[in-house]
Amino acid sequence: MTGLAHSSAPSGGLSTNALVTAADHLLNPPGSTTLTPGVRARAAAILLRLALDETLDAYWQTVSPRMTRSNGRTRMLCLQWYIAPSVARQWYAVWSGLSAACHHHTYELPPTPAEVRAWHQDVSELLRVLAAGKT
Amino acid sequence: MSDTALRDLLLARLPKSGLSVEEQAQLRDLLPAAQARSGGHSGTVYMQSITAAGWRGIGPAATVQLRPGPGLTLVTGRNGSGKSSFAEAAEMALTGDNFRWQGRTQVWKKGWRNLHEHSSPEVGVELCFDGDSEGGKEPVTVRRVWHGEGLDESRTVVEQAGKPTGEDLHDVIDAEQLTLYRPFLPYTQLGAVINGPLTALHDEISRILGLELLSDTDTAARARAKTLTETENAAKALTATVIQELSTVDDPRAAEAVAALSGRSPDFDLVRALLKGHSVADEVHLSRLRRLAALESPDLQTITKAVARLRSAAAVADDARHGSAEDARQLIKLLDTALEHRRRHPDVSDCPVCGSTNLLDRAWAERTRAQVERLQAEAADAEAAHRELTAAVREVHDLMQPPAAWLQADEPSLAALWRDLTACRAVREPRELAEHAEHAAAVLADACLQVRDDAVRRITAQDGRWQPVAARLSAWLGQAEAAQAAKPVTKQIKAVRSWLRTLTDELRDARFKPFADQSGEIWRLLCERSSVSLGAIGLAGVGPQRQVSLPVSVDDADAPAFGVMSQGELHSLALSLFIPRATHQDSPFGFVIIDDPVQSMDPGKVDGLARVLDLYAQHRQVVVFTHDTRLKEAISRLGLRATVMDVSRQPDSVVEVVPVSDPVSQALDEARAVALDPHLPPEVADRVLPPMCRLAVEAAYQAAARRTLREAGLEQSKIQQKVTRPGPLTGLAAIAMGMEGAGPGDVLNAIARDHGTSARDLIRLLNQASHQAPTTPVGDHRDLVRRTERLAKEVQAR
Repeated sequence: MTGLAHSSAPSGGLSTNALVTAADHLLNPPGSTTLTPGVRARAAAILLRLALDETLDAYWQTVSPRMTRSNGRTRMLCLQWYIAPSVARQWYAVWSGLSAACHHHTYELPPTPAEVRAWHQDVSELLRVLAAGKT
Repeated sequence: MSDTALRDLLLARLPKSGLSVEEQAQLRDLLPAAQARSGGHSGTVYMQSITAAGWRGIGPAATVQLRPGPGLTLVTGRNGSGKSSFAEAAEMALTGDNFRWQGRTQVWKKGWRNLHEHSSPEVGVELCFDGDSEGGKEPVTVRRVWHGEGLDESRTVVEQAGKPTGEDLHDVIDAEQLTLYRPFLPYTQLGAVINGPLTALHDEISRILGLELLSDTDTAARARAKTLTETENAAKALTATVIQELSTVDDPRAAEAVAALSGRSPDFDLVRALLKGHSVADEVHLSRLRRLAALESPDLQTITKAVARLRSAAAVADDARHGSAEDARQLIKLLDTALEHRRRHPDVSDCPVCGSTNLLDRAWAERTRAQVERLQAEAADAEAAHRELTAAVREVHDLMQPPAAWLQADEPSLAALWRDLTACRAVREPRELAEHAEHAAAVLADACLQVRDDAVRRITAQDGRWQPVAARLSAWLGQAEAAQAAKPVTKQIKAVRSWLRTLTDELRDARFKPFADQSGEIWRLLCERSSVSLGAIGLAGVGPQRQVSLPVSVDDADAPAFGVMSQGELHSLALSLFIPRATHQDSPFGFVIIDDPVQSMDPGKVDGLARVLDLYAQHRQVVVFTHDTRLKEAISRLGLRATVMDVSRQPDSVVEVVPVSDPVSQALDEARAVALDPHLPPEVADRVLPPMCRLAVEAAYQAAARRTLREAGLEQSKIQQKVTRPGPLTGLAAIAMGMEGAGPGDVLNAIARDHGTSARDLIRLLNQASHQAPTTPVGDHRDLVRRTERLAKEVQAR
């Protein structure tokens, strides 16, 4: 199978690496910014989830292209039979966390920058492992 | 480790401890007596159910059924559903106490009864003991019922197979171990674990490390050392006081005692000699007085009597000499001669002397014989008087004994008087002797009496001063001897304590390490992404400074734990300390009950918590009560196995507990979701569905195998080992069907017999799936899941 983490951008014009970097910039702005931390955190969460989605889609493209049409949970649940189960489960957990953070819930507080920063690390780690772990 | 084991270890180390024989004996003596632990049940205890009625949020009796063995159980329910009431009921049943109620006011303590159902509140748990032999397989029920209004007015009943066993609660559950390992963590205590003084936490953890025997021994040693030091100090103080007292006493012995006490090390022998009256002072001064006091002068009365005798004898002798006695003797001689002459010349009657004739006739002869006899008697008297005088003189001479030799040195004048008396021995003339003896004796007796009285008076005076001093000195001696004996013992105790400290440090480090490692691991799982990091926790300091060190740093800068941690992080820290304690290898409690650990945790921590719980559920029965769905979702997303129950509360406190999911339904749900996805490519389905279905069947057989092994009386740890060992499904199925070790063919036949041939084919297919990607398509995917579900349900229902 071919490398995926650095696959070409299928949508939005950004590669997954660029998405992760953009998220990092949102979390740690190099200069002054007018955006509030809460807004930046949510935006970063959206970028990170997109990175996970696109990487996974790119992965399934190489395995079985029709999988990209199946629902998110299926893509996640099937993954553990193709890659290390612990990575697949972690993927699911992080993806779920990011998904919850992306949506506006009236009853839930927006994600904190620290939480999203933690996810940022998780996502980078997952992308690295998936790229390296294809045997 | 039990006290006995630690005692054995300590005694085994003793010979090579480098301690002297005396020190080793001291240590043995200081070891507290071994205590036997009793209990009718043995082995790890697991919880089979929790029941409550009329208790807090629960009205009519409601029960949470648990699987008594390692595994994770989640009891979910909204706030106020009664789930916490169950957690508290379990704790209350076993401890009669609960953190929530501790230190609360009366008002709080009155709110424990259910509002709707308050006539006969009751809480209870069913417990399974791993180590119980046959007959003990039945779970033990502990019920707590109330007989009064107060929360503490309760009693427990222990039942087995529906009958009271007559046991007390503490026969079933060791209260001390319950406090030690505390397998209950209510939400309210999450904050308190580290809000309390760190000294207390230090003590609690130290107690888990099971080194109380060492600290108890050290406490005993310290107490003994203190007593010894007090003895020494008291002796020192007393020495000063006694010296002060002695120097005011005018007595040679007191002066000697002061010298004996004043040296660097007091002269005990000298003091002992002084007290017994054998001292130098005694020899020189007092013994002279004592001799004089006991001086015996010549007996005046005897002398007087002898002198009188002498005088009378002298008078009698004088009379004899000057009177007729001597004349008579001479005349007797003459007359005897005349008579002899008459006898030789009987016919002659003339006197040859004067010449007269006819006078010396017969009549003369008769007359003269009679005169001679009379004269002879007179002469004998004179002889006797002479002898008596000689005897009287000798008696007086004999009475004149010389004085004792020492008298010359002690009392020269008295000795001179005495010599004057003895000079009498040279006097022979009776009258002179009598005069001299009488006078000298009288003078000497007077002088002796005076000297003796004087000596006695002086002795009495000295003794009067000495007696109280001697009593003090004697008391000092006792104290000083005790202090002297204490000195080497103090040294021994010091050596013993030093060795104990080394041993304690070594064992504490060794035993604390796994604990600290576990805490660190839990913290990392919970707070992997936190900016706050926790270093190696430790038991630091001694005495009042002892505490649990929690080296916390924020972005690599050291910080105080409580200042920088969020509530969620504090709770994580509490869990990191609580879980290793509750699941300590020496704990007899196989279960741990945690109430609402999820509150105030952010999503990353909930995932970590799920992993932690799963980790400990591998060898412990972990029961978690939680009010939201986040933990349940995290468990399911992470593919961890758990049994989930939901608690709901209808009006009038009617509480219902419904099973929601278990590892079988979890696996089936996932397989079904995948199979039902219309866009699932067949080749992916062929690859993923068989192993997913296999997981469901495996989980079902695992549960069944656990039941079978439990009924066969196997220990939970062995059961866990057997059912989690990787292997073909047939192996697990064999255990579940009670045919462990049977060949795969026999097992498959048994499955076909019990569940039909399609079940056998399904097992074959699923078994293959775990080993290789199937080369043949598995057919209708939804049908595969349906068949799997049917078999799994049947196996579960066995």
